[in-house]
Amino acid sequence: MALTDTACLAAVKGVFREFLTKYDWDGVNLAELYFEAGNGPRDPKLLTPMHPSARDEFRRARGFDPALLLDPLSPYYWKKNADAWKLFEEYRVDAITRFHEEFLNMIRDLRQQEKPHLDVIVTAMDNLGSPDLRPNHGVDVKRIIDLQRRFNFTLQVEDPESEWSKDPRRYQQMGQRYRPLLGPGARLMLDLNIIEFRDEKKPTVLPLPTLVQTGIESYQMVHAAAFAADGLAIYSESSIRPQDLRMMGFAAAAQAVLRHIPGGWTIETPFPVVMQLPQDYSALRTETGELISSDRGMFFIPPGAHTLLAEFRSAAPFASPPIGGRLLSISGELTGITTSSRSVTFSYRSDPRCLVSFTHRPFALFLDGKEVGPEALAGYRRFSVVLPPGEHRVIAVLETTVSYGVDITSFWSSWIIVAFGMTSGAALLTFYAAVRISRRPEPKT
Amino acid sequence: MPEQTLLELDLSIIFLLSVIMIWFMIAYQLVLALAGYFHYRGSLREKRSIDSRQFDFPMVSILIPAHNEEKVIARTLGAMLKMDYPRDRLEILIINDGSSDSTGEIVGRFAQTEPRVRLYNIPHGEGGRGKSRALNLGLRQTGSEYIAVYDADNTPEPSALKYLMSQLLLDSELGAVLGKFRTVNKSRNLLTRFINIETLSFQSMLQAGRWKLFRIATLPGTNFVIRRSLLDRLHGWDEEAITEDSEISIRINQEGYRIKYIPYSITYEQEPETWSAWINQRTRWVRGNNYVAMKFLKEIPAFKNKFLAIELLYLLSLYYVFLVAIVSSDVLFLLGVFNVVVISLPGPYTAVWLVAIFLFVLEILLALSYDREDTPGNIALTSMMYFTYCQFWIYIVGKAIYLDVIKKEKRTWVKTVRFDVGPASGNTAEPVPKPPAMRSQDQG
Repeated sequence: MALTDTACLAAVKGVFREFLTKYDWDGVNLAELYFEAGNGPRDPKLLTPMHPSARDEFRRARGFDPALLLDPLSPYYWKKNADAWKLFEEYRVDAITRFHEEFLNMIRDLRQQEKPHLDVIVTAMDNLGSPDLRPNHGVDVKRIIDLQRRFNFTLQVEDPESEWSKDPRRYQQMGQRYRPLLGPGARLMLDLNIIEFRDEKKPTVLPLPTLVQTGIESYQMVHAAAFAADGLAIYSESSIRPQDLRMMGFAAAAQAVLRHIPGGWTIETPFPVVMQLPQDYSALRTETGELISSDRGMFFIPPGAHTLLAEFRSAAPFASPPIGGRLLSISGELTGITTSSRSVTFSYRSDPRCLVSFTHRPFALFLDGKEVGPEALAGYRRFSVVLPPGEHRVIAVLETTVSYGVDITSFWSSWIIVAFGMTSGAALLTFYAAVRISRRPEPKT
Repeated sequence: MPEQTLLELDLSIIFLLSVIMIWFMIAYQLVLALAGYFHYRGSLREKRSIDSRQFDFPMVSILIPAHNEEKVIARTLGAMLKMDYPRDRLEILIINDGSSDSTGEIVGRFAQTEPRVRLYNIPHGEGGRGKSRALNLGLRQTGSEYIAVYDADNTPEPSALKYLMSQLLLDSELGAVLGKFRTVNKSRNLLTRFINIETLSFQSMLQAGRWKLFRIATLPGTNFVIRRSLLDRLHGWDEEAITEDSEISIRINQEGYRIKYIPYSITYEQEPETWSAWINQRTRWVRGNNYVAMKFLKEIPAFKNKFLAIELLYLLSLYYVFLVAIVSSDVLFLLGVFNVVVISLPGPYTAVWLVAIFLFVLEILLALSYDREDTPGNIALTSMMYFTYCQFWIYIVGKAIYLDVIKKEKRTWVKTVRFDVGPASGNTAEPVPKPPAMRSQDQG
C-alpha cells in the first residue's frame, strides 16, 4: 500500500478504524509497519517507496527523484553518492515514523471517543541490535520510542530472522539494551518467533539440528525474554511443539524460587505466577490463613514471598466446592489478594481489560472503593466479569448473610446425608449378608 | 443487587429445601427398611411357633368380589378349595358383581358340587358400582364371625388363611390381619418383573417396618381377615372410597384395634401386564389415597394413634411435598444443564446422589432376599428401576392431581384388566382347575 499517498493513507486508516470499531477487541498491535525492501538499494526491484506520491514528495523536499538512486548513470547513484542515499534513508525513517503517528492518532481518537479500554502495542524491529534494518527497511526504533512518550502504548521489540538461530540468551541483552531507553513506567515486550525458518538446503544460518526452535533452545528463549522484559509474545504458525508449549509457562516463571517444606512450599517471586498442582490439591493457604485463589489445579500467586500450605481435595464423589466465594482466575497480573468467607479483595494490573472469574455470581463489586455493576457472565461453575485496564483494587462481595447461611446449610446437610447414607448402607449390607448366611438352601424341586 | 443473583439465591434455597425434603423421605423409608429386617427375623420365629400349636378355628367366610373374571375365577376357586382349613368352617362366597361374561356360570358349576362354594349374584341394576359396594352386599349374605377377602385373581397358598386366623385368635387387640401378596405373572414381561420387585419391597419394607416400629399396617385389597363385629361397628366399607382398603385401615385403627402384617401368609395375584392397565390402576390408587387423606385430614389432631397421624402425613407428603421436591430438583437440574440458571452449592452432591441410588438398591435387595428373589437379574432391574419405573410415578401423581384438583372428575372404580392365565410361574405349576361340569364331560 502506498501510504505516502494521502488518499490511500486516509482510506487505510478508515478501514482499520471501522474494523476496530466493529468488534469488541481488547486491544490492537500495530506491527510490521516498515518498508519491505529486501537488502535496500542492493535489491533495486524491491526498494520502496517508489510510488509517484513518494517520489514527488521526496523530489520537492530534496530536489531529485529517488529513482535516480538506482540509476548507475545518475550522479545520485547510491554507490557513488552516499549523501544522496542518506537523504533517502532519512526520508524513509521519517515516513515510517509519520505512519506510526497517523495510526496512533487514529487509535487515540478511538480510545477517547468509543473504546477507552483499548490496549495498544507497537511492534518494532530491533535496529539497535541489527543496524542494517535502518537503511534497508527504514526502521528506527528510537523514533518509535519517542512516540511512546506521546502515546500510551507498550513497545514490543522484534529481532530479524537473521538473528533467530543465535544464542537464545540474546533476549536478555535485548532487554538490557532497551530498558534504559524507555521512560519510567513504560512497558517493554519482546516478540519471539518460533517457526520453521531454517532450511537444510541453505545453511546460511547456524547448522542447528532442528528446523524450528525446540526443547531447551525454546525454553531459554522464553526464560530470557521473561527475565528481560515486562512481557513476551510468541509468533508461531502452529510450529511450537506441543511438549514445548506445556513447558513454556514454567520457563517464563523460572525467576520464581520455589522450595518444598513439610505440608507445602515457600515461594519468592518478583511477578505474579500461576502455580500448577495436581488436581487433588483443593486449596493453598498462607501462614495467616489467607486463601490463595485456584482454578482447576492452578493457583494464582501474587508477587512477594509466601509460605503456602496445601489442602487436599476429597475423592471425586465427595469433592465439594468450598464454602464461601473465591476468585478462580484472572487474565491480568494479580498483585495482591485477601479472601474472607464472604468476599474477595484483590488488586491487579492489566494493560487490556481484565477478565476475572469467581466461584459465585458477585452480589456487589467495588472498584477502587466505588461500586460498579458489570454484568457477570455465567460459565460452568464460574462467573466472570470484565474489569477496566490499569491498576485497580477490587472488592467482590460473593456472599450475603443469607447466601452464606444457605452455603453452610448445604455443606453440612449434604455431609450429614452422606454420612447417614453410608452408615445405613453398611447396616443394610450387614443385614443382607446375615439373611444370605442364615437362610436354608432352597429345596430342590 | 443483580436480579439474576437474587433469582439464583432463591433457587438455591428451593434446591436445598428439596434435597433435604427428599432425604427426609428417604431416611424414613430407610428406617422402615431396617426395621423390616427385624420384623423378618421375628416372623420366622413366629411362624415356627404357630406351626407347633393347635387351634380351634372358627367359621370364616371368604368374600371374593368378581366382575367379569372368567379368565381367572376357576383357578382362584381351585386354590381356595385347597385351603388348609377345616372344611366345615369355611365358606367361599363369590360376589358376582354384574358380570357380563361367564363368571357366574363357572362359579355356579363349582357351587353345584362343592358345598363350601356359594354364588351370590348382585341383583340386576345394583352391580358394577365398585368393590366396596360389592363387599358390603356380600357381607350381608354371611353370618360368619370372621371375614376374609381375596381378589378374584388370587391363588393363595393352602396355609395362608390358617396363618391369618391364628393371629386373630391369639391377639384380641387385632382388628384385622393381612398377609403377603406375590406376583403370579412376574416372568411375563419387563413391567411385571418391575411390579414384582416393587410389591415385595413395599411389603417387606413399609408394611413390615411400620408394624415393627409403630404397630400399624395398611390393609391391601386382598389376603386379609377382619372381625365381623368390627366391620358391623364400622358399617362396612366406605362406598365412596376407591381404595377402600386404606380407608378402612384408618377407621380400624381409630376404633382402637390394630392391623398386623403376617408375611408368611402368602397369596399370588395377577399384576397388570400392559403399561396402560398399570397406569390406570396406579392412578386409581393415588386418587383413592387422595380421597382418604382429605377425608381424615381434619381429624389428624384427634387421632388416638399418633403414629397413624404420622403415617397419614407421610402419605400426604409423598403425594404432594415429595412430588414438588422431586420436580423442583429435576427442573433446576435441567435449567442448570442448559445454563439458564446456575446453582453452585458447596457439598458433596455427587456422593449424595450416588448414596441415594446405593441405598435404593440395597433396601430393595434386602427386601427381596426375604423371598429369595435377590437374583442377579432382579438386582440389575432394581438399578434400572431408579431411572425408569420410578420416574413414571411423577406422571401418575401429576395425572391424579390433575383429575382431582383441576378437572374435578368423579372418582369411580376402575377394574384392573385381567390377562389370560398361562402356565403358573409364581406359587405352583398346577394346571388351571376345571369346573365340575367340564370334568364330567371329560369323564364322559
